[in-house]
Amino acid sequence: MTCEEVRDRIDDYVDGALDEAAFQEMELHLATCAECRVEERTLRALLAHAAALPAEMAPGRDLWAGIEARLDEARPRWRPRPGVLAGWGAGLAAAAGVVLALSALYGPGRPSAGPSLAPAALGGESPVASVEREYARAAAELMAALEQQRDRLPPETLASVEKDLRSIDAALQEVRRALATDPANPGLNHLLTSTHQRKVEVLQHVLKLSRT
Amino acid sequence: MTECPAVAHGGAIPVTSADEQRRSREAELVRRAQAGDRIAFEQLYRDNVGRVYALCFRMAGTADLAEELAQDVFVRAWQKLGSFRGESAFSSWLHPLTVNVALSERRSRRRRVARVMTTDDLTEFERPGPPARSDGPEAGFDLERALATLPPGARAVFVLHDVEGYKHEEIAELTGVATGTSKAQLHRARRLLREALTR
Repeated sequence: MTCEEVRDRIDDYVDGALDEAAFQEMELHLATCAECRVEERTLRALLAHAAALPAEMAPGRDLWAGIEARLDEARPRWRPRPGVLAGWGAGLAAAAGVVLALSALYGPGRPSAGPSLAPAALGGESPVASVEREYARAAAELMAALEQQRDRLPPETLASVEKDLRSIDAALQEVRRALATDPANPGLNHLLTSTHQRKVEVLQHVLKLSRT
Repeated sequence: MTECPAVAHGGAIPVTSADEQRRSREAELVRRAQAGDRIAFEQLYRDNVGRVYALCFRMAGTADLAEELAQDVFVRAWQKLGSFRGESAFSSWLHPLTVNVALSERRSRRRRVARVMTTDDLTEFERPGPPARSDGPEAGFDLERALATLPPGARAVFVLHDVEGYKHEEIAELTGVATGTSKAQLHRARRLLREALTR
């Protein structure tokens, strides 16, 4: 085997991809050729460097804001996963309970912004309270419509929706808790709106399914 | 001699428990994210961005492009989250998605004449490298930097094969080239990097 042939096949050699005969020829050459041995050692050193690269690197900036801004446009390409039937009525009632509670807390005619919410806007109602009220109204209307249609939906779909709504409500609670300590945070306010929007979308989607 | 806490408690048990906790937490985050919970998805992002970004950076060669790609990966993950069944770790599910995003970008970039890079411009290797240390040139070698100067095709194959552990057959399938082309690209990348290593 010549030096040129060795350098052509050195990758297969270090990767263990040579057949026995070629491997023996390579070994024989390397035992007698100092120049090719340097090539082989350098290659092995390079592969050691590659293997030692860190699995993680931190980007120079937080990328989340850019990702989150695109999530509204990037609608999931999947439908809620069928789950186990676990009482649609109870799930619906739980979700409705949250919606009604919000409506009662922040609805028209009641004192709106509690100490945890953003400063009052026009008309004495804070922007957060206004968002909560509007989405609560929309969700309540959708849920009332859905209530009329629920017999037309397969149980697994109902179970999935129930699970979705529970998760979304839990998320809403988390956002509210965060807003309680940082009411003017624009990201949190945006998150509150988008989470409400997600809930409305889930309800709209399932209502549409029930009518097809 | 002080006994290692893991040994004192029966070897692998505490580790397994921690691992189970991590998996359980991740499964919960995924379940919530699948239901549309963005807070949960943000946590999944924070848990995984380091690995995604590292792969994007090595495939892309520049920090700006890597940041764009990493963002694309998580947007795509959000879109496809429903297909994740929890049979593997979320990071394992995210890995091929990251590779696909990085490779798709490379393919589309090649088609965009306005953004074509000088793919075979090897003059970057002429830049002075980090100062060589007295314990030999290899000790001061910056592979990340050398990788960034490789032609994109060779860089992608080197990263997939020698850093990520893909086989040539898998790379060929991912990149849509023949296995022989993948081998040739790897050979080229290794040769250029060896030259950089010994410079």
